[in-house]
Amino acid sequence: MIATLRREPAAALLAGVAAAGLAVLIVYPLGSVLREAVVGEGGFDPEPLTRVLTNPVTRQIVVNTLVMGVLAGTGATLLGFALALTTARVARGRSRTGLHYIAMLPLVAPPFALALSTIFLFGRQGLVTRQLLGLEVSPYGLGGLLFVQVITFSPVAYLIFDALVRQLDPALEEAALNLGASRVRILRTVIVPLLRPGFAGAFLIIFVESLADLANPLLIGGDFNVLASSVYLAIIGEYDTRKAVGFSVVLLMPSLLAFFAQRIWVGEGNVVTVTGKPSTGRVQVFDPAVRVPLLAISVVTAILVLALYAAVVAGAFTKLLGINNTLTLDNFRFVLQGIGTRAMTDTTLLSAMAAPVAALAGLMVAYLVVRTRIPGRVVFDYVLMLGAAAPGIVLGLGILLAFNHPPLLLTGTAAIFVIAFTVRTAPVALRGCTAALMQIDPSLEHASANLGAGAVTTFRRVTLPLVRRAVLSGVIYSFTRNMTTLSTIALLVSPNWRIMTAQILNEIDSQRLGSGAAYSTILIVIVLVTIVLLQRLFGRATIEVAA
Amino acid sequence: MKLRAGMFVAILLVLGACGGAGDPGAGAPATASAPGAAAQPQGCGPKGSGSLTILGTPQEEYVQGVTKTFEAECGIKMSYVRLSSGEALAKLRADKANPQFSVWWGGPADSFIAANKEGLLEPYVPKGVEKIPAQYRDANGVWTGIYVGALGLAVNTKVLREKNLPEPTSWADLVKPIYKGQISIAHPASSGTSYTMMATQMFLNNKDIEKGFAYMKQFHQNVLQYQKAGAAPARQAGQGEVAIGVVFSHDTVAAIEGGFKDLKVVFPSEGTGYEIGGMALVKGASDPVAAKTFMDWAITAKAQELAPTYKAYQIPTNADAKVSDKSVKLATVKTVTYDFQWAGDNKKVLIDRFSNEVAPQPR
Repeated sequence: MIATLRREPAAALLAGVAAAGLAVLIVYPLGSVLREAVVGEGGFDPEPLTRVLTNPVTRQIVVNTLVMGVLAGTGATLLGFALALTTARVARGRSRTGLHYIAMLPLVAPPFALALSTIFLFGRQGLVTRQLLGLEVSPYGLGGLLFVQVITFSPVAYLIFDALVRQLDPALEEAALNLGASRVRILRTVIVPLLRPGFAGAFLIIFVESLADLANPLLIGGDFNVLASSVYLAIIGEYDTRKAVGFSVVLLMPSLLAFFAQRIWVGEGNVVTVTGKPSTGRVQVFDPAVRVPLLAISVVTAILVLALYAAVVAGAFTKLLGINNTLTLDNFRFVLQGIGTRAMTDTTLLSAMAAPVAALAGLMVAYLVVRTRIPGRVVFDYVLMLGAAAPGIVLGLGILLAFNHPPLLLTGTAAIFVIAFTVRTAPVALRGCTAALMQIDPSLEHASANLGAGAVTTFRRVTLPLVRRAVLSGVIYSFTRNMTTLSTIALLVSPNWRIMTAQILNEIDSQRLGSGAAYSTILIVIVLVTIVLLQRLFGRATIEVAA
Repeated sequence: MKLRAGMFVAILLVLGACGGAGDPGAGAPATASAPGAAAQPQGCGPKGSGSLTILGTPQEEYVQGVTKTFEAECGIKMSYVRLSSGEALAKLRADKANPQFSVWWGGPADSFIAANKEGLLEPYVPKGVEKIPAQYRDANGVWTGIYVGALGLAVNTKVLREKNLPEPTSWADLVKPIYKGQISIAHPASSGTSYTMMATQMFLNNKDIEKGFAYMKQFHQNVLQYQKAGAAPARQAGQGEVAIGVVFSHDTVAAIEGGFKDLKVVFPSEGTGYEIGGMALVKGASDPVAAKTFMDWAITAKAQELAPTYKAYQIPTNADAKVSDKSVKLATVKTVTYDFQWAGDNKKVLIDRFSNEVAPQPR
C-alpha cells in the first residue's frame, strides 16, 4: 500500500475515497442487517434466522419465494428468447422495429403498472375476462403474479438474446442447411447450444429480479406470501426489526448466490462489443414450422403488452375502468391537487441528484479496478456489485437500520434517498465503465503521461472523453431506475420527501385504482419523455446501452 | 413517435388544466397568512415554528382536506402522511428516537391506547374539551375523540343477485360456506377497522378469546384476501370483486358517493362494533406548540363539520357540531359494549395470535 502510495499517489487517494464510501454506504448497512440477525441482547443469538427456517408458516414463504423465482426466471427467459429469435430471423422491416420496441416497453413500466392493468383487464371484474368472456377468474395468487413478472422481466432476456442472436454467424446455419438439416433441427442443435450462456445468464438475472420484486407480490400476490413482501410488512406493519432481518438474510442468500454465479459464469461476456467485423452470409429466415409458432407468440405478447399499457392510461382517464367507463379527469385532479405534484417534483429531483453520483461512483471503481494496480482492487468491484445483487428491500432495510440513529441520523433527509438510489444503480454504471475502459488501449494514456501530463490531466483529457458514453448511459439508467423503484425506498418514506412509487402503493392499498393508474401514467410519461429528450441530446446508442 | 408526442401533449394539457383549477385554492391561504401573527384569524392559537407534520389515519381525502383547511385558517404550514392504524403505530415506534410527526390524528382509539402503553404519546387536553362527552375521550388526556363510527357490511346487491345469494344480515351469516371467497376485510395488524371487527367478536363472546378465535377461523375460510387499508374492502365490494366488505359504515357511504351505486350498508343483527376516532400528541413532537393549536382546532364544531365535505361521514364528537344526514344514527343501531381499554391492552396479543393461527390457515 505504501509502495503504491509512492508510485501512484492519485490512485491511492482514489482508493481511499472509494474504500470509505463503500464501507459506509454498503458494508455498514448490509452488515447492520446481518448483525441484527445473529446478535441478540445476550450476544450471539440467530433466533430470527432459525424462526424463519423452522416455523412451518415462514418456511412456506421461503418455498413460495423460490418457486416464484424459478418459474418467473424460466418463463421470462423463454419469452425473451422467442421474441429475440422473431426480431432477428422472422420479422422484417417495420414490424421488426415495432416488435423490438414493444419487447423493450415493459422496461419503463413502473412497479404496479402492469399488475394494475392486469386487474383491470383480467381481474374478477376484468374487461376481458368478465365483461367480454363472462369468465370468473381471480388473478390474485401465483398465477397472476407469474403472468405479470414474466412480462415485466422478459425485456431483460430479450436484450441478452437480441445481442447474442445478432452475433451468431449465419454461416454456421448455412452450413447445417447445406448438410440437409431441417430448420427445427438447426434451431435445436445449432442456435440453442450457441446461446446456452444466454439462457443461463438471463435465467439467473431474472431469478434475482423476481426474488427482489416487492410491488407485484403486494398487489397481485393475494395469499401467496413471499420473502420480500414479508420484510416489508414486518417493518411497515409492526416495526419488528428482528423479524424483518430474519426474512432478509434468508432472502439475501439465494439472491447473492444466483447473482454471483451469473457473473462468474457469464462474466463480462454479456457486454456487447463492436467488433467491426463484416457479417458474412445471408441472414436466414425460418420456414413455417418454426416461423408460425414464433410469430404467434410474438403477436400475442405484443398485443398483451400494448393492451396492458392502454389499460393503465384508460384506467387513469375513466371513473373506474370496467365498472364505470365515463371519461373523467378526476383521478388526475385528485393526484395533482393532493400530494401528487410534490411527489413528481421530489422524486424527479432526488432521482436526478443521485444519477450523476451513481455514474461517477461506477466510473471511479471501474477505473480503480481496470487501470490501477492497487492490491485487492477487485474487492471494490464485488462490494459495489452488492448494491445490485442484494434485493432492494434488504438494501433499504439495511439503510434504515444503519442511518436511523446517531452517529449518522439520516432518516427523513434527502441524503438517505440519494444514498439508496446511488448504491442501487451504481453497479450498472460500473459494468458499463469497466467494459468501456477495457476497450481502450492503455497506450493512449501512457502516451499522454510520456508527454508530461499528470494522472489527473490524463484522466480528464484522455480517459474521460473515451468513456463519456458509458458514463452517460449510467446516468440515464440510474435516473429511470430511481424514478420507478419501489423496493429500495419502500421502508424509507417520510413526510419530508414524497416518492411517486410509494404514493402509488398508498393509492392501491386503499383500492383507489384510478388514482394509482393516474400516478402510473404520469410516471411512465416522465420516464419516456426523459428517454426521448436524452436520445435527442446524446444520440441513440447511449440509450441502447442504458437499456 | 407521433402517438407518443400526442399522448405527451394530452398529459400536459391535463396537468395544465388541473394546475389551473388548483391554483386559486392554493393561493388563498398564502395571502391569508401573509400579514403574519398580528392578523391571526380568530380561534387559532400560537403558530410555534409555523409548520406542522401530522400522521393521519382516516381516508386520504379527509386528511388532505382537513390539513388544507387548517393551513388556510391558521397559517400553519401542514404536511401529512396517511397510514393505517397498525402502520401508524409501527411508524411511531420506528421513529421513537427521532419523531417525524407531532400529532396522530384519527383511527380507532384502541391503537392510541396500545401506543400509550409503549410510551409513544404525550398527554394533552385540548382547549374546549368540555364540548366532547366524557365517554369519547381519555380521562387522562392521552387521547381525545374526534369522531365516532360504527362497523357495517358493505354489501354489493348486484353481485348477490347475480350469484343468487341471500343478503347477509348477521355476523353468523358471514361464516356460511355460501359466501366463500366473497368477503373482503383488511388485516387487523395493519388496519384499525379490521381490529375493531376482531375485538367485536371477542365482546360478542363476553371476552372469551377462545370462542372469538373459533369464529375468526371460520370467518377466515370465506375471506378472499386480506387488504392493508381498512376502507379498501368497501371499494373492492363496490367494484364487484367480492360481494361483502367488512368496513366502517361511513366508508361504505363514501364509496356509494364515489360512484359505487350497487353498495348498501348492513348492520349485523347481533350487534356491531364501533370506534372512537382518536387524536393525540406524539411524545417528543418537534413542534408541540403548533401541534396543540391544531388539536384545539380539530375538536371545534366548525372543524368537525368539515368532514362531510371530504366524504367523511363519521359522527362528530363535539356536541355542538351538526351531524350530516348521511351519518349513521348510532341510537338506531344495535351495538356491542365495546371496551376500548381492553381492546387496546390486548391488541398486540390478539393480533399476534391472528397472524400465527388464523391468517396462514389454508382455505
